[in-house]
Amino acid sequence: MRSIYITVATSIVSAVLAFPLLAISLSMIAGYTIDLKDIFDLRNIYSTIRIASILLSTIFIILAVLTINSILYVIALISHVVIGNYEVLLSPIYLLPIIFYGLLKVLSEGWRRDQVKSINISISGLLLTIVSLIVIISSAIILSYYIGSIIWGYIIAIRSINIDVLVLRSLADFLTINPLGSTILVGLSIVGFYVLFREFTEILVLYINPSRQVALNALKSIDFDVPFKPPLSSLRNMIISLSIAPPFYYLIAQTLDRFNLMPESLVASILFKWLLSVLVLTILWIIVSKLLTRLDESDPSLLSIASGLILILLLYSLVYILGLWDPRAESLSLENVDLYLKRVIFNYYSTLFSIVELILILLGVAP
Amino acid sequence: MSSIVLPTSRLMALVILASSLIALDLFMVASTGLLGLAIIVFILILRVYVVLAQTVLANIRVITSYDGIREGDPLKVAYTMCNETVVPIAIVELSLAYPEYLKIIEGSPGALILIPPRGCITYKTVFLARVGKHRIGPLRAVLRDPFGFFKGAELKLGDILEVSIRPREGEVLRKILLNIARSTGLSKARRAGEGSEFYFTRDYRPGDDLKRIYWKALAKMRLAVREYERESMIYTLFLLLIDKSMLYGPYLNTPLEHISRIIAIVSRHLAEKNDWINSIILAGGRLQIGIPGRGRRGYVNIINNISSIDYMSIMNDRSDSENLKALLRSTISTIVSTTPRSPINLIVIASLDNATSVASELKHLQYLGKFTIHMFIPIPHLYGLEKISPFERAIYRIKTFSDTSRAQSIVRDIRRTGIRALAVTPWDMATRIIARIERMRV
Repeated sequence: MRSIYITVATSIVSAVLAFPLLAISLSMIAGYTIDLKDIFDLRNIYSTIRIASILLSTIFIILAVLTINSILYVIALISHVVIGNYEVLLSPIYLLPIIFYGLLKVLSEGWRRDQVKSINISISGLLLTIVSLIVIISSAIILSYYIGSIIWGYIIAIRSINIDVLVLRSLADFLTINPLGSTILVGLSIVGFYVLFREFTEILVLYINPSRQVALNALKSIDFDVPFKPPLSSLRNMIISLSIAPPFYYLIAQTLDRFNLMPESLVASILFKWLLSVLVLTILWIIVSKLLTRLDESDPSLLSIASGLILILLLYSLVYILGLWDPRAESLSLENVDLYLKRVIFNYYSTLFSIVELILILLGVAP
Repeated sequence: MSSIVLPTSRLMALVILASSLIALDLFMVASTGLLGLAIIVFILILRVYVVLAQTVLANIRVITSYDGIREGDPLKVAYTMCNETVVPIAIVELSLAYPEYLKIIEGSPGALILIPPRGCITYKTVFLARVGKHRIGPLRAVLRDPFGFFKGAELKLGDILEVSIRPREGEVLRKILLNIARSTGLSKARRAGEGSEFYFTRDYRPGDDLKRIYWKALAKMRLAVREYERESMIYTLFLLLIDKSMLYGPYLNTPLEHISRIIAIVSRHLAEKNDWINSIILAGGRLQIGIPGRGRRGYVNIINNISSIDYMSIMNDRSDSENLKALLRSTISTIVSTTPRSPINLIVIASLDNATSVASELKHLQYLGKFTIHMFIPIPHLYGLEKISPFERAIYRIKTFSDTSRAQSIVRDIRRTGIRALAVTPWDMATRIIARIERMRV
């Protein structure tokens, strides 16, 4: 049974926390003189978007206050950014509600009506806990700022890297200068850092403070119906994929080029070649993994058979499209393809290795 | 590994914000990248704290205790959690696992708590105790960080408490029973014989023991001897057949609770008369065979047997009439093999639904000669009348009329088998039982 007092109190606090942003939104609305006729006039599109954003923000703030929902509050905040009001993202007054809405929600959902009668804790114990929590959270905020600044410095360093090698420059420029490329680069770096740090700290904590119940919970959460995978099967699948990827890549590139399926300038660009090589390798790796995993289990299902067939069909279709194979010939001859192989494999691996080299340079591992 | 701590939907707000801040910086709109990254690092640090607190919570020392063993009394259940590390644990969402048929009279079934570093916290809840065996606990704990961004996997804290509650004997009813019974103290047959209580004096007859000569009468020149009242001893065996229908009714006034109270008070009455008493309870497809005893020992054995009635097994009982018959046959063989040769009063209490099948199995016992079977069938809907106003009671009585007539028809059928059956209301059950037992006293 939820406590009505806590529900009311949390609602009041959430309203107080959201008040600064709400005040800004309302003052902006008050500052506008809207002529309804102008709203649908395309010449005033920017003005209309601004008004819509402010109204949207106001609605989301009210909804956030009513439901104590931090996601709605963030949407309201971002709506302000759309209208160019960036300072809301840098001031703690507007940012703190996001964190405290979580606390309020935990209290409003978890606090039971008569729980005070059920709990017996000394005042000193309660104060000690609250103080130590404040210390932990404050330290976390300060620490996160310093760690964040170190990582951000590293990201800036990556973005300002100057690569002399001509082959790598276009991709490097895409990743460092182009905002989209930078976003991909930074996103991947952060995700990588997050996953590594998370796994490392979890293992460390469990090593320092082992717990039978936690270990059992973790073990029970694993799906027991997991097929046995031979050791290094992923590496095996990658080697096989790498060995069969060059002809596929080359045939696809040739198909796109010959039949003008894409603009010539795009197909010819080095960035596209990189993208295609990685894409082909990834798709082949998935197909090969599916096929070989089923064979490892001695249970070739319809999916694995289909994967194998798709590979073969794709190969022959491409060869046929390019005129490298004549099915009317008396024997199955792929002589023309053989002629290409040496060049194809060389080109493909040089493309792929240049990507690896670039990643190493960006990470600061290679000069 | 990731199952130790899980992100909640609230984390999404921070992730959206951090991503937006970084994206704005990368698109050279505003210098907000550092703040976005700091938020992500803050999330990570918070996660580390939750993982650490989760392992500390899993290893926490929990002391469980309870107080209260009698029906109607407050049953206080307490879990004391002691954190021996320096890591504060916040916030823990506790919820107590307890049977839904128990009523909480103080406190709440769960709470949000903070566990201090190197300190203890006690969570307690008070139930209104009802007769039988109940399993309370363990505490289910879900750890959240103070902002609710992460939550740990559910942990079970403390042990499951097995609480046995004894029936309460009403003093008023006890006095009524004493009035119904012919005397207090040791049972007397109102016949001269071997005993310790003085009965009357009579003239000496040759062959009388000299030790019994009444010397005061001799002083008056009359040769008389003392006669003592013969002590009578009976063996009463309670056979209680419990099914789900006996669990329905007002709190503390269900047929089961009422019957438990009555058996307790009747057995106490018989124990005071130093009679042999025993009980066999068939509940939830399980046979609870008591230990026969005389006087107080017999009474304690019966109380222990009643307080071991497991509500959950009755509620989850899926046995059909064939299972019941098989159990009854096993019960009959137990009764025959464990009871003495002397006459036995078998007090059977069965529900309206089971009465006919119980009677058809028990009728064979009569052929052995030593058993006198008295069957009492409580009319279940009348137990709902205890706590309602007289007007409502009058209306409810009309509703229960059909039950009463059905009970009477069942009783008539059972009586044809030779078993002395009686449909009883909550108000006259105890007096009827004791009247039957006293009538059998020789």
